[in-house]
Amino acid sequence: MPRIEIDGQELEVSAGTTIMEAATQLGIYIPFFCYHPKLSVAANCRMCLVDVEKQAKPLPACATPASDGMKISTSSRRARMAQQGVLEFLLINHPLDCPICDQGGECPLQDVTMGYANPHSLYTEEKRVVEDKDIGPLIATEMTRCIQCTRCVRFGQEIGGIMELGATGRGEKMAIGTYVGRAVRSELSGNMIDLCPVGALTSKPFRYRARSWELKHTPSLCPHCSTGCSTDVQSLGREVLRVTPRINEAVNEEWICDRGRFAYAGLGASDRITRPLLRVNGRLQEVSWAEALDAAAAGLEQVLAENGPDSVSGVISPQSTNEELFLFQGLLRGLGVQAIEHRLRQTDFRADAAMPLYPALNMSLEHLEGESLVFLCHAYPREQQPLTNHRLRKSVLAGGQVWAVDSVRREFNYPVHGLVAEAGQDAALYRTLARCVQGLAEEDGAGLPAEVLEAACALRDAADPLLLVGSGVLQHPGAAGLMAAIAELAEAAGARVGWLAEAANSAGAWLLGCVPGRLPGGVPAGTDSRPPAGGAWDARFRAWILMGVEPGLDAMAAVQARQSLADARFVLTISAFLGEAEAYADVVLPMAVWAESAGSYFNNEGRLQSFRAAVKASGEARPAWKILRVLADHLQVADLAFDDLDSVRSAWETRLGDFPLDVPAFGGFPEGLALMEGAGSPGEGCRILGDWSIYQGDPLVRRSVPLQQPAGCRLHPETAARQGLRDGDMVELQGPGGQGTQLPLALDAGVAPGAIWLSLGHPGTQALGGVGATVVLARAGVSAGAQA
Amino acid sequence: MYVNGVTLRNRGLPDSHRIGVYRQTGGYGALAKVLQGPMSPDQIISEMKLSALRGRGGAGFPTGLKWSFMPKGVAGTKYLLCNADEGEPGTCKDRDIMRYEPHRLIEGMIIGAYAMGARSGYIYIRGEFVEPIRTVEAAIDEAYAAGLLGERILGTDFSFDLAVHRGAGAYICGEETALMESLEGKKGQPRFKPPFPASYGLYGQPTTINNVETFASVPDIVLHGGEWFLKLGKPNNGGTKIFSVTGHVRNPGNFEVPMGTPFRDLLGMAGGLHPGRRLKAVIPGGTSTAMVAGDAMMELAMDYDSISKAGSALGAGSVIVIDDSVCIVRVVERIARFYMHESCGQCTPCREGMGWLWRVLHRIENGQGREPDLDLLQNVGSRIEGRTICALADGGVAPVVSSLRLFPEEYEHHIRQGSCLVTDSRSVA
Amino acid sequence: MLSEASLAEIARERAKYPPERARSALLAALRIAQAEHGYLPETLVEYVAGLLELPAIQAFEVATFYSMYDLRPVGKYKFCVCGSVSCFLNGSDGILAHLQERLGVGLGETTPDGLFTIAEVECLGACKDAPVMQLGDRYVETLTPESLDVLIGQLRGGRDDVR
Ligand SMILES: Cc1cc2nc3c(=O)[nH]c(=O)nc-3n(C[C@H](O)[C@H](O)[C@H](O)COP(=O)(O)O)c2cc1C
Ligand code: SF4
Ligand code: FES
Repeated sequence: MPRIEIDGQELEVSAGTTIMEAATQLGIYIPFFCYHPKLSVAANCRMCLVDVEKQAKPLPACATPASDGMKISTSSRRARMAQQGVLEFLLINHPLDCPICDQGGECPLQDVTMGYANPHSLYTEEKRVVEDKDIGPLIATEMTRCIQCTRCVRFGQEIGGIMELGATGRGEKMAIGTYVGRAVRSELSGNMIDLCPVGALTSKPFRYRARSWELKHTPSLCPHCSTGCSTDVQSLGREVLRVTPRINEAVNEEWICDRGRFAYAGLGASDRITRPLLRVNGRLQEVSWAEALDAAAAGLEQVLAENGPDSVSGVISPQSTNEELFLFQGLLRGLGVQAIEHRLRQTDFRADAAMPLYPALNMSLEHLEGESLVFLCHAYPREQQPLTNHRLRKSVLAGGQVWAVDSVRREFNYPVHGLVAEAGQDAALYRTLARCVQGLAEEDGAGLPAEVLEAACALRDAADPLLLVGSGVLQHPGAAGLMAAIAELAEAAGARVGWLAEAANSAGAWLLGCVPGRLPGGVPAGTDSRPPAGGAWDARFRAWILMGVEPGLDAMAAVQARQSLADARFVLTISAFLGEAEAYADVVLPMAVWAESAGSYFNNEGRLQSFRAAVKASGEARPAWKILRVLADHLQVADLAFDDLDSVRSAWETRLGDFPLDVPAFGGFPEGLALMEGAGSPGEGCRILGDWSIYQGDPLVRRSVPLQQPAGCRLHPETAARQGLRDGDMVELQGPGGQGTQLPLALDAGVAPGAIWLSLGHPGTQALGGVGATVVLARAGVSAGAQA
Repeated sequence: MYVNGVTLRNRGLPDSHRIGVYRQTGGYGALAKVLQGPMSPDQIISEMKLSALRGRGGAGFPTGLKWSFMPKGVAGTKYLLCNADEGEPGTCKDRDIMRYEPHRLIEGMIIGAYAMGARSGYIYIRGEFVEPIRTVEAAIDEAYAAGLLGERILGTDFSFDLAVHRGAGAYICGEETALMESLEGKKGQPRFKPPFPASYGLYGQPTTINNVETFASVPDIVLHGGEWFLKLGKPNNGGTKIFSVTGHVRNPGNFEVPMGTPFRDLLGMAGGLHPGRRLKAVIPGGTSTAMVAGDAMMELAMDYDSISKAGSALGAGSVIVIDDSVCIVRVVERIARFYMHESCGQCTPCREGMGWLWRVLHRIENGQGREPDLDLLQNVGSRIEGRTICALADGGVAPVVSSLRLFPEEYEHHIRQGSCLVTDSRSVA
Repeated sequence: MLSEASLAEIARERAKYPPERARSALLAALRIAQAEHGYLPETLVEYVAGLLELPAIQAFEVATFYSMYDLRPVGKYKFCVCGSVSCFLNGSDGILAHLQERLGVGLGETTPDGLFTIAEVECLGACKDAPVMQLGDRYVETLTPESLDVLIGQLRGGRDDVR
């Protein structure tokens, strides 16, 4: 344990501690640019030079290990001279464009310059100008401002896991860029904006919108996935102009993904609803809240009276807050309605009884980093939970192994062993693995693919493997069978099981009773409250209450949902955006979006986190909890007359009571559960596989223009060849109902032969029938991308 | 005097690069002595220490001491590297060793590998040296064929593999950690030290690196003893050393002479100055070392300690002779251009400072100098020195600062008259 | 994009390094690719990166760091004349001026017939033979305007074995 002295203060540090870290412990500030506690040490900017007694030269604090007896001065004349000298070098080629630079006001270079610069630069030569390149819609570059600290490059290599930015050239020609001006694709790319200590990399959607010091900062939560990253919502007046991460070591460290950072750009979508709407003579018209609420109550009451409560279905977004979820189920149950659902992407509910209290990770995110063997079961956290994925990435960098069992080979940002099921044979693959692990299949092991055996061996030999169940399981047409097979595998391997919860508050939706058959706290709702075969869109329903959802894009059974809603007697939509509701809603109540509202979420760990409103709601939009409360009033549902959000919260807290964070991953499966797979060969067609891509999964993010990526489809090269299709072709797809859509084709050997991979959540793909349905393909020309 | 007697001994023989010729002149005898003698690794290292051989790559670090830093009993491969990146202006000796005496280098490396327990080695040769690369590669093949490299060398338990890694044009790769980065397929950007290569070198494994000439000195040290080698030179400056004498001399070349040989004698071997010329300045150890005034140089002996006492450094023994026909400002501007061009770009003071120095020098040279420019050069130089990861930047500052001190009148003439003192005085004469 | 021979040569280079250290062969692979194509177009750099399973930008970083890689087409004969101090003291500026006059193109330019490119490079490590230049695989030493004229004549005549 070296004892050292910094600026006269003594300190004992653990071996290997750098001078910078020791100074931080003492609260002593040493200026720096290239250093970042989460990145490798580059020691290239030389800003952190300090004076160490008996050393001939000043030493970089960020890279120099403290050794016993060191006497360090961070502000002696020698240290100051060194720091000032370096700063002058950094400034000679840095443009004097602070007044028009978006970094202004939050620029380490500006700050350090204030504190350390010699006011009279001696530099009179011409300044360097660096050519800018377009690196995509998210990051604006102004490379003349770059100080070559390489933080961005190191971020890509060390955190992002894909190296897209590099430092090319050498000496004073060294410049940061992508490979010949290619766009950055990493889902974590926005963090480079935060890391860049100057205005070289700034947010493109934020560009020139405001000066940083004008912005109001509101601590918030990201509403886009079950990780629940801490964010800072920055606004000017009523407008959210920027979202950045807040440091929260236990959850997101100091990163957020691009979805969390840029989804806010969807807030200003042109179909944002700011006044209540009522269908009059077939057309939606703006009306007052009073009129709209009366109409909503009347419409519902009529259906309830004529068709009974079993004819009403309530569907709420799993992005809703606990308060909203609690009120929603309370309202519906108060009306006698049992059909309460948040699972838009699930179609097989046979194993509802086996579902856990809530989809729990059953461990802390931090502990994921220490796992030695993780099996991802139909999970793609890289797009679904990017910062949970980051923990898994760390586990792999630390020597752990991650296997991904899925219907398709996904691209990870760390080495993953992939195991891809043959089309429709997903549950069978888990079963085989289970048998293999138990050694039952040793004699017929010869017939199995090498990677299946390898996976089984890894599971068998692991001390304490972990299975993580992903949303692909629930989205599978045979979800129940798949779950049962995974449970079997877990049993065989003696593995722990955690769930990767699908949406930001899936956990809350389960805990607070937004599922049929379960009241808040998981209390059984009595006998026959199981969902009907058609789920929330079953033909038995005549009226719907929709909150925060766009079933035509969000539902796996989108075709059916659209049909049912079109045929409904009455549809009440509570939403921030009009979208497809234009076609079917009878009453539309405008709700505040997350940034305009307050509430709480349970993240995947079961961690309760809350946030408050950052901006005022647009127009007449109201926080959803208030809308529900007023509706309850109108519909005379008792016990929901809460005056403020806090009382809603204490009400659900009381109802929920204490619950364990660690819950059994599966309950009992029904006897004789059929696997429901391989539902016959798709014949001439292809079996649909697919998933909502990271930027397509909820109403807000899909409205964020800079994040949008076009829909597409992917085929195994063999399948394509058989169908006479080539990479870059435009393909005409016909769904079972005859609906057609055209998509550009990419070849991908990671898609099982005979299957087609679709990016879901687009109007075109949602019209085709969902995962497991069969589509017929035909060539329809060459895609625009391939032409270019 | 023992001239051209150690590392370039066979240079004059036909086919001196072939294993046969090398063997006929006693080559691989030292290796046989080591392996079949046998000599223990510790014995070799103590002979190396005794020899006072100092690294010939420029820094002059005692080789025996460096070899003793290599950790024992560590897991994984230990590496031995030879630095043949020879790129500092004025330096051209390693090329001749590789062209004429590749086996001496290889034998030295094998002995070093044995002494330090290295299992694998690379010779990093600058990419432009295509002919030397081919010669060394052919010699490595010969050595493999003769059982001198590879598994179970000369029937012992000792194995060592050796290959050539070609550079691709970057002086900085001569810096030892940049060289390792380059060997790993990266840009040649020096690493911050600590950790030092002996604990964290190539691929993160313990690594020792020496210059070509350093390795080529090893066989004779082993064969004749450290004491013998030491006595060729001076205390603390053992052996002979190749001096590359270039610039304004009549017969430039590589001269391998005992450490401590008077500069005067060396200049003589190089044919002296051109007729009618006066010695203005000498850069004694390659462009990274400070200039010494001609008169002072004539009194100096060529060894590490003497040259460093005179305020410069012996470096790689690259003696650049400058006579009175050329303007010092032009020479220094040319040297500064080299460092600007060769800076790897990672450290701020070097990336920004080298270009700044050159731009100011360039201005002065072109008659656009200003009165404060001389202070400015000093000032910029002082902010670069000692503040970077590697020594390239210090090397780039040395000639600028030393020339300012030695030849202020040439700079001032440029600034005040807008023209060159040398050409002006020539036209006056 | 590369011939069997080039691929085999890259494989030989790769074998010099531990199996998990394919990246070590990057410098060599780029050199071999350049030798076959005359220069390194962007697609080729990316292709080479792919061969070694590296991100394209990593190969690009290397290709732009080292001076021996040509990212633009160059002449069949690239005269890389050393302009560093020892060569400078021995008249390299005059040699470069002579070449430019003789070939009618400036520094870094290629003659219209695609035969010659003139480049000034930093120290070639052959200072005692100043002024020198690198020409492909060889060095041409103690250059004089006259020796250059002879060389250019021979190269124009199709003799590329000349020393
Ligand atoms: C910028 C720079 C360039 C260098 N170039 C060379 C070189 O070309 N050859 C060399 O042997 N050493 C060179 N060195 C010195 C090496 O870093 C290292 O000290 C040397 O290879 C060690 O070998 P030695 O102990 O045998 O001298 C250079 C150092 C620096 C800072
Ligand atoms: S772009 Fe920013 S982060 Fe990247 S090297 Fe330049 S200054 Fe550093
Ligand atoms: S912060 Fe230490 S060198 Fe950059």
